[in-house]
Amino acid sequence: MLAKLLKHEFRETAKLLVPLNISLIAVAFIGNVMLAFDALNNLTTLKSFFIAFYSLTIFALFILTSVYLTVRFYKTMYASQGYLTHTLPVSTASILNTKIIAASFWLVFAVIATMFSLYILGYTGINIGASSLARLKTEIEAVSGMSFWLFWLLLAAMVVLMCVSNVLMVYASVSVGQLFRTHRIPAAIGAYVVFYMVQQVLSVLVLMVLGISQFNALGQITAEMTNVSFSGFYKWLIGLVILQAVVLSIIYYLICFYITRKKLNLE
Amino acid sequence: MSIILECKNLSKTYGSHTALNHINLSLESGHIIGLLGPNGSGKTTLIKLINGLLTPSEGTLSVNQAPIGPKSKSWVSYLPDHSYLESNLRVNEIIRYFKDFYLDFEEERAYDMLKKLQINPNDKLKSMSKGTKEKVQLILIMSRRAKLYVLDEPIAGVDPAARDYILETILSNYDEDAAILISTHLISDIENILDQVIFIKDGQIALNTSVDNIREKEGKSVDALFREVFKC
Repeated sequence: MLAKLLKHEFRETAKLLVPLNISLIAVAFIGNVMLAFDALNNLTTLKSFFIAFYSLTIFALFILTSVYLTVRFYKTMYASQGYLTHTLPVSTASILNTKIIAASFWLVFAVIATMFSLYILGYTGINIGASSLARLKTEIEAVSGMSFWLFWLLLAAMVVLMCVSNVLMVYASVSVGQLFRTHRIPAAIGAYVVFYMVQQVLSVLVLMVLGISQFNALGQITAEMTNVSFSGFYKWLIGLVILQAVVLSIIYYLICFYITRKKLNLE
Repeated sequence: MSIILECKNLSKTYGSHTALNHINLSLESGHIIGLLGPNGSGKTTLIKLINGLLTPSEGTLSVNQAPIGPKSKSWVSYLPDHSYLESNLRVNEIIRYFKDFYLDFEEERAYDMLKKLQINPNDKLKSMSKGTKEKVQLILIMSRRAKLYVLDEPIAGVDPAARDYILETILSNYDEDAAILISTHLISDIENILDQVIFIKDGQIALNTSVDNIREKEGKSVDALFREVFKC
């Protein structure tokens, strides 16, 4: 049943989100063509305008994706369409998991589309060269203290988990909002603000408490020192961010699950 | 004859307000049952509980001896009293959706009924009149071979001709292995197709009897008895 739910969810959400992502790539492609014309090199105003427009497009992609997915979650889970969603012969977990998987996918997709659009924008056709890539690999390994591929894998895991925990925070806020009989939307916004503030405070506290030895070590570094490596610190930080995202995701998921299972009260 | 719906000591409270108060109810297959009561009597709460849209505060309910969950939902075909489908969707897209999730959904029957009503399956819901939308929603629900059909105000807000069509469709779907539960205010229109009625008042069952009983013993129509029982 989860597969069927996912199929329909992706089919519906793709109608808006695929064209949105393609638009960003198209803007980047147009930009690349524009910037490549020698004659336009002197038109710095046009170039600046384009860069601003391109940045706004990225901004719009993330904002529209987030707003669309949030509204869709609300409508299909707690408003009139909830009468269809919650009477399907599927478990509460399947319904929630579908929403979370699809939304996380689209956020990660937007991140990848943004990176790809940057590549398109900056593509000059000139071969970077194997030696430059080898140098990049060595630098990354030296700074991070881990293999090139492990570094990118952990970075990707961090991005994915942060997208998931963000989605879950929004969904948990909407779920808390529906506990109220009236003013559900302001209540959801209020819940989001509270979650965000608590999350920030706890992050700083955890960072300070768990990072005492790390910060002490950093504090010992002087300008005269050579062969200083921050790899230990970076590994620790990435690990902490990943752990935080996992813990937060679990908490927000439990909030969504409990409210949907036990406290559902459709309009 | 089997028990399709069973409620034992079922209660639902919202804070200090008791919407359903220790309801005991048993519905058998092969009946078309009217769930009748004024606004705020607990009809919608009971319907939502049957469909798993609310959880009981006390007591239990089961559909075909199964607790409320994915299994019971596969046996219950529910028509809410308002539009609940995404209006941007076309009718054939919604049929595909229903066919995917409900194994008892009969696609041919749905298209047949749409054809008879001259409704284009390619049309989007938002392009339809309220009456046509109601008919489409009813067709989707009645195209399933469910054990329990729950219709919440199926004829409210539609013209008399559409009402006749809806009632005819309900009757033609009569199945002795299933039960049809209809919640409504429009008793005089519906009573001719009912064979059992449940009067619900202030969260409790005031009466649960056959329509024949009312007509023979009380010598009244169901509508007249309703007005008497629920006099303001």
